[in-house]
Amino acid sequence: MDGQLFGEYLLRWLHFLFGFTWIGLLYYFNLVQIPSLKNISAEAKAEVFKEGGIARTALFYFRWAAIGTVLVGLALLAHKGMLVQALTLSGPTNIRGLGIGCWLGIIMMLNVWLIIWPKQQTVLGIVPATAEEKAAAGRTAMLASRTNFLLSIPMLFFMEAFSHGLN
Amino acid sequence: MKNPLETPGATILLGLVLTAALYGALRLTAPATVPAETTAPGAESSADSSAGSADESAPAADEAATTDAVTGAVVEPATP
Repeated sequence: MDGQLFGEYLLRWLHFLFGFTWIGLLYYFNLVQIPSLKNISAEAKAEVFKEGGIARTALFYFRWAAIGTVLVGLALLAHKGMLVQALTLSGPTNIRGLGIGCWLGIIMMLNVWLIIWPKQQTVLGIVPATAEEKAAAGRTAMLASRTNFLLSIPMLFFMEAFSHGLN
Repeated sequence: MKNPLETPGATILLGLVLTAALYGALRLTAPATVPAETTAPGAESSADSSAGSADESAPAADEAATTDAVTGAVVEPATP
């Protein structure tokens, strides 16, 4: 195996490791944690949100896996010489399709770092806030997370479809 | 009307619709392919002609002497 191919496999493997961690936690938040929090007591909720609790630990891996996925994905595209064509949505259909997936992933990562994480800092009490501000931040964070859940569906389709037989 | 992002099920349905819409847009904006050359009946374009000669050369290639994959010996085609 030559160095070029080894580099491609290594980057793809890292992209998958980061990506599964990110999207797996996104689905955990949207399918498990958010619906479950409605049905638990205030004391139990405080346990989930406390320092070292489930929510903070999950958010730590979630936000760093998001940025890792995007950076390694862009490096993989650059390594294969497809970065410009993918990001400008030009060239053959398979690269344009991959480009749509890339942009959806980039939007999702920015959503994590610019909306979800700042709002979660308010919800978790890392940033001082009143109860009303926490409730408002929690709703915004939930809707932003659901937007990422929505965007992940076409993102995963466009990331994989064209390298697995779709023309 | 309830915001579809309020429930995971509605979000998934919206995600499937968005996927179909984006895929449709991708197909609709695909670069146009060069249409096949149309020729009058009986006439043969150069492309058709070369394709025909390629097809015709295939049996000849099959009949040519080949090398046995195991022994490496040259195998002559059977003559009728």
